[in-house]
Amino acid sequence: MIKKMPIAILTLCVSLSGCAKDQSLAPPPDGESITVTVKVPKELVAETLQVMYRSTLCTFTDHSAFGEAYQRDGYQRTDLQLVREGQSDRYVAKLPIDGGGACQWRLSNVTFGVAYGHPTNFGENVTYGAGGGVVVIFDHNNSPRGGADIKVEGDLTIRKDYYPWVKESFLGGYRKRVSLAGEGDIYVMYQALQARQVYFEPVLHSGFLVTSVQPKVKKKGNHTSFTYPDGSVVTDGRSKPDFRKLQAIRQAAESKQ
Amino acid sequence: MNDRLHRTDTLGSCKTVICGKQKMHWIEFQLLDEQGEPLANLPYRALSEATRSDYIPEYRGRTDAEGVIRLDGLHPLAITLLIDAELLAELLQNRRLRAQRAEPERPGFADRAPLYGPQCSGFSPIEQRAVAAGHGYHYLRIGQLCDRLPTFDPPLADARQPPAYHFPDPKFGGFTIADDQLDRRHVLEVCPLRAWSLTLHHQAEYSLVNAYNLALMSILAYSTRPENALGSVKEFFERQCLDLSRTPIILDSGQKLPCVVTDVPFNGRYTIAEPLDTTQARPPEGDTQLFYAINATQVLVGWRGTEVDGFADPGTDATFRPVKPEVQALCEPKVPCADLTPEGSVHLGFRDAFELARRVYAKDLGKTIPEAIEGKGLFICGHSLGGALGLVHAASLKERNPLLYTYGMPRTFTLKAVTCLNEIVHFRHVNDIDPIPSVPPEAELDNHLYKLYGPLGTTLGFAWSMLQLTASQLFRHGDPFCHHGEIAMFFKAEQHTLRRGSPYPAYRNKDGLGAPYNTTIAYRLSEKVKFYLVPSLSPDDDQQAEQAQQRLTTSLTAESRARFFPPFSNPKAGRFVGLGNHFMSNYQPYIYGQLLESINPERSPLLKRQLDRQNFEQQTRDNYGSLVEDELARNRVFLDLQSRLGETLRVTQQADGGAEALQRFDAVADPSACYERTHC
Repeated sequence: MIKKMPIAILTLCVSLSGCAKDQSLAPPPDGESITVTVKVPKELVAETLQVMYRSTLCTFTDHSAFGEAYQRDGYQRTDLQLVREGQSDRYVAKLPIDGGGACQWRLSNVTFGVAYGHPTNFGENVTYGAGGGVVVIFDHNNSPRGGADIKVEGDLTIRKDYYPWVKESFLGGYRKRVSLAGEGDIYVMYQALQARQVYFEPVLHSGFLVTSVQPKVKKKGNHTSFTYPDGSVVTDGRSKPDFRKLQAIRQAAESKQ
Repeated sequence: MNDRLHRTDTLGSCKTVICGKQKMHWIEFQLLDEQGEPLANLPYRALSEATRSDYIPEYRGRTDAEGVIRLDGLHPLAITLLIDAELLAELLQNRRLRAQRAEPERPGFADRAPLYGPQCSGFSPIEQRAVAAGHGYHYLRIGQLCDRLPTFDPPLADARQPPAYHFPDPKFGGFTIADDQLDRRHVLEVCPLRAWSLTLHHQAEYSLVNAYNLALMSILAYSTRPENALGSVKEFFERQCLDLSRTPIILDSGQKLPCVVTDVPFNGRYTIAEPLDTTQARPPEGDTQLFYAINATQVLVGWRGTEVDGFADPGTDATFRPVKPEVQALCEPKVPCADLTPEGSVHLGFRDAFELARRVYAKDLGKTIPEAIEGKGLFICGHSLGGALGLVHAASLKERNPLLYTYGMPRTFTLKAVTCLNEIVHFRHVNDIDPIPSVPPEAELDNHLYKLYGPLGTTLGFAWSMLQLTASQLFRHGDPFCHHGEIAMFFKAEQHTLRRGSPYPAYRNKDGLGAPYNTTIAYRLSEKVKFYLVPSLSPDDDQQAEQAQQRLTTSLTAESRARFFPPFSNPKAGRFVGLGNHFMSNYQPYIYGQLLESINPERSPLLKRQLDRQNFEQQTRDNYGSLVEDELARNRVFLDLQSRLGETLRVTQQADGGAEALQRFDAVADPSACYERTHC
């Protein structure tokens, strides 16, 4: 009886896995790759790279809301850490385009970004919020966060301005968070079909802090109030800082010097 | 100039020609919006070859109160009109669209027709008037007239790729009239700078338009199409909702389902539309998919349902183990965190699926969505498992006043927890004997299963509990799983007549009471009908029911309501054979049909659903004497409830742009495209 058990389990395992393909990634060592470089400002840290591969050979069945079955490309995600280049502020990762394996995986998209490593510098109990993210799509598929907003040809160089934003919220429990306020949403999304180099340089303007306080009760006419670096307080129904106003404040301050 | 022949001359280098002054031309432009209102006091520039070669200065000025520009003394050259972008954009943002759109066909596969061609002729009343008056007529979008890209707040995601419907010309070359079209007035009808917003009402009362649009959003949550393809989340919100020539559609299984949309200023467009998919690895450790979209007034979240393929999603649906309803991902270190509900339990599988999404998309679910809700209405929807996740999501945001519409959702919370979530407005749609709303059973199964099967019980118990569905009454103690929210049900109703087993009195004495003469047999009558029932519309809740008195005998009372629609529960038990009732293809058509019926109850020809109901009522009259009493009473009440659904359109008709939204939907919706099972 005892001897028979492993056999039964083995049979079960074999019957479950069947003659399915080995779905693992096996990039060839000398294959072509895409280099992702992030120039990380002092106060920030680089977030983990989330890399997605797709395969047209290994598909799976999905259903529409009406119950119709259809085939979708298989996908697989791996996480990579960016590696610091010597003592510089540049962090680099190489992503093999050909993911290899029996499924012939192809690089599909990558999600990365920067974040505050020590949010407690902004006060006790302050946690990191969001912002400073980048998604680059290398094919015509969606990323885990959907499609691209901006399409570029050739290599991709991203330089974006960011401002520290400390937000106090009350609805649903008190929280104080520091985020990166940039142009657009928390992720900037690109499609770069021919890119071999992706370079991201977030420019953090630490001296220009914007703070906001959320109302304590949700009702019509109650809005978050923002205090901008020039001391102005604005309550205009926005839920995130006015990026153009921040840029204008900084440019005015810089031109005075 | 009588001598038209001029040749090179060997004697003289020029020849004197005698003619009058060069004939000069004029042109008039009249700028109107779609309602025929003038676009007044706008700065313009007009250019021709004569101004470009600095022969004469540019024409400059402002449109007059009638929106008219008159240019005199023109050379016989093509003339180009340009309007100041900022002021034109500001003006056009606040002009309304006409209800009916041109609705050109979308170019199909390998069709080279442009997506946004010139508007087809014979469509606009302004065109008719212009042509009747002998004027030229042109339908223009702002980008064909303005001198550059106006600034927007919120800004465009990529200013180099402005939305192609409004800005078809990347060079901003202005609008040019050829030299042979001078000496007349040209009426320029300019499409307002608007965007579509789903027509949704953030209110506690049931709304048919809410139910319809949120059903479509629950379908959209299933979309896995690449972003550029018709029917993807991004394509819907960022392209279709900016294409004012067509009504936006949701695509599923080859069916094109039109949405009910209202036009809003371009700055109030959907600026954020993110489909999120917890794509971890294949096979998925847990595959949760959702999307959210945000515009100036709405935060919209749609949760995707499960794989219904033989209930193959064991990670979520099958684990019927109630657990304490706190969601860890909501809590951050060192911050006090309130549980989802102070009491009761939540389904383990659903909580895990929700937590997975919370973990993978912490920034979206923890920050972007909650922050965006301020000053906006929060709408959450989902089908099947998506409904359960939607309810968990709504519970986690209950201070933000979420409005939830679900379709065929399973039980998610236990009774104690549900009673703590009373303030969440939730309408739960159930299609007849769809089995999913009947799982997990109304019982505290955990202990039973655990005792029976040990640690595997929570998974193995699934098959067992499906078999025991009807026996679930046995477990009515402790804190059972139960339903949240007000029910909206598609109820298939039949009628039975009672007849004696045998009509012959001669049998009377043969075998006493068991004889055929003394036996009554119920026969099912042929006419069936499917009701769309929303019990909360009954006059108990309806303060302004004008004819409440007359309807007293037929309407739902508190007592009959509790009997027909038991609270926290389903009126009909789900059956395994009813699985075909579960897909959105069996929910959406009833709402679609009802919406068409309610918009115009006197449509000609009548809809099949209306004819069926007429036949059903006729059948009642024909068999009045012999009908089963209870059933008769019930069906009368249901007919009355059904007739009340039209009232829920009143709020839409009174809303800003709502009447046009319904008119537009009625114009594009095909009444013969009827997919209702019972009716078609």
